[in-house]
Amino acid sequence: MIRVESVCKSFRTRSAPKREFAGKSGGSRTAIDAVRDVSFECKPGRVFALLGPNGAGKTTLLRILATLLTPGAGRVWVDGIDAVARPEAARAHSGFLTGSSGLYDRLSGRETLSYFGSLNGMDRDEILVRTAELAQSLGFESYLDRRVGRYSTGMKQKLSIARTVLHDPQVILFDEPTSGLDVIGAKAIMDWIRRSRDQGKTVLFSTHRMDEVALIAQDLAIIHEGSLCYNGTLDGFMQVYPGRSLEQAFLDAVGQPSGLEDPS
Amino acid sequence: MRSLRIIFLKDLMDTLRDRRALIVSVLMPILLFPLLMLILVGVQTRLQETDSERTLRLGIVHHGNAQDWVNGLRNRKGISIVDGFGVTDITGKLDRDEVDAVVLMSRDYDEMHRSDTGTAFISLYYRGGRKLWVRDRISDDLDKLRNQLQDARYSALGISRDQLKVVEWSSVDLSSVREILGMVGGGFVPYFFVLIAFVGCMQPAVDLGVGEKERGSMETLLCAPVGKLSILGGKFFVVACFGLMSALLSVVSLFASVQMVSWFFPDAMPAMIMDTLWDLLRPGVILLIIALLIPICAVFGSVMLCLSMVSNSFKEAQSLMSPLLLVVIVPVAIGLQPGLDIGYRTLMIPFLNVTLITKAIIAGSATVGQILTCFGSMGALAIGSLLICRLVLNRETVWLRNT
Repeated sequence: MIRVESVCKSFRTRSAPKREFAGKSGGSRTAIDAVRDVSFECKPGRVFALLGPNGAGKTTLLRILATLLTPGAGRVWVDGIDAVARPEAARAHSGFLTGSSGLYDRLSGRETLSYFGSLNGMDRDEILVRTAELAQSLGFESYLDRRVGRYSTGMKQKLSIARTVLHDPQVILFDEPTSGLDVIGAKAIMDWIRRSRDQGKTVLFSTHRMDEVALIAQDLAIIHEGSLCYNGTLDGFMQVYPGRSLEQAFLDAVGQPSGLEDPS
Repeated sequence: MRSLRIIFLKDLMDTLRDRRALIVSVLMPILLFPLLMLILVGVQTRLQETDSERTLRLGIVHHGNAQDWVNGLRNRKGISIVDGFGVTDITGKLDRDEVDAVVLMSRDYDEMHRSDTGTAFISLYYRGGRKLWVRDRISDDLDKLRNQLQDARYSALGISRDQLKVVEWSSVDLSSVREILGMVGGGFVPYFFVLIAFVGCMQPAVDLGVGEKERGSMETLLCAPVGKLSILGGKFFVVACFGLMSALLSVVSLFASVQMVSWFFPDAMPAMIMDTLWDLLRPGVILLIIALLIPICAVFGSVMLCLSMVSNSFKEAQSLMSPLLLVVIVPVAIGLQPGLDIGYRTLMIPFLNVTLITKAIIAGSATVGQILTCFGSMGALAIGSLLICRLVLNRETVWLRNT
């Protein structure tokens, strides 16, 4: 279970100088709100989709849930643990698949899993059993002992998923898990998410793809310019925009013309 | 502590598999000294051969004087006499490289040396910047000529050379050979080892800091239930170990190279240089230098890792680290100056103290107090830079890309 209450996050950034050719020091530091007063809840045994255009604040929000970033305000609970007060404990109960595969090219798949298993406090036997289990279910047994640098994008993504769920976390966070994957790779990931949901895990994933949302999500939040435009069930969202496709409804929600309106 | 050990072992294995790091931190320090020694041996051998084999083209403007001496030189093997030109042509002849040197005798040369009181003058013209060997080749002949003529005059006056020695003064240098070697060669030891340790730390620091940020593996690592201090500690130890390993390998390489030269080219290098090198390689000296390298590598490890982490790209990290080399090398180079006193004040200045204490260790004049002061100063700098590194890396945005 994930609970997010009134979370805000801003970054200090250097604004553009007012005068042209003012040089690098011409700008002043300003705060940009990446996430503004966001609240939602993800329940176990359900898949929660986080939708939003580029730069909406999806990754920042996921990084806050994964305790990589501390919120400026608000509270976050991951599997009942206060993630702001006890980030390491929260990380032990969650797995985060980051936007990039984030693997070590010079290690083999087995060494990668052994490394992250050790960091998660698993003993050698546990790691061996879990590695074999995940390699079989995700279908990468044959290249487990090959160096990651020689993996294809799809192979890397499978290993990343295995790395994410190796310690069998109750909460799983995916940041655009199918990005860059072919249809077969994407299907394998979707199947895995569905399986995790069926095992009673709390799954939250961010995506651009409406078909994936329609396929596996039960709950949905739409984030735009750091604020939530919608938070509820997928069915509920479709009722707000009757007669619209999910894509059209999404564009309406973020205030963009869908291009399907009658020009008159 | 467990997490730190796991991260350290993994990063060590990962870096040992990095071809670039292996070339810079392992292969280069191993090959540096054998290559340097081979080049030195080659150059020395060539210089010795060419200097003795080279024919000296000696111009003489003698105005008809000292015919016997000139004829003697003319018949000498290895000397080719060029004469028949005047004083005004001397510079031109040397500039056009028609001669290597010119001996100019005063017009009254014969007259003066035949008289009882007059002084005959001889000047040697040469271009030392181009041909330093020329002076050595002809100076013996000129000294011999002077002594011969002086003795003839003493004999004509009925006195001996010793009768004219009213006062003789001499200087006695009580420095041991080791002290002199320490002053001459000692300064270069830290210069080399500090440089090698610096280069050895650089590649792992860039790879484990900004490299991991760029590849996204830092974000993955931060998802594990370990503290940032453990991550930082694990990486710091790998970077410092690589610096230390590079320096140690170069010590082994230096030892092997000197041994190699002693075995295979015993006469190639001047004895003075070989003695200096063997004196530098005494076990006590080596152990103290290695001990000194520990705080040096700790400083490099923390500062470089910090610079690497605050950078946004490999290129930025390298451009931030390059000026650091100047900060390190300038005090080390200042310490190379002869006559710079070793005192507790100078021993407090980081890196300058490394040069000064190494010179003193090699010379055998370092006291326990001086060694401890140097260690204290470098240790304090290492701890300080680690604390600053931790402070800088407290900013969460430093750890992630695109924040």
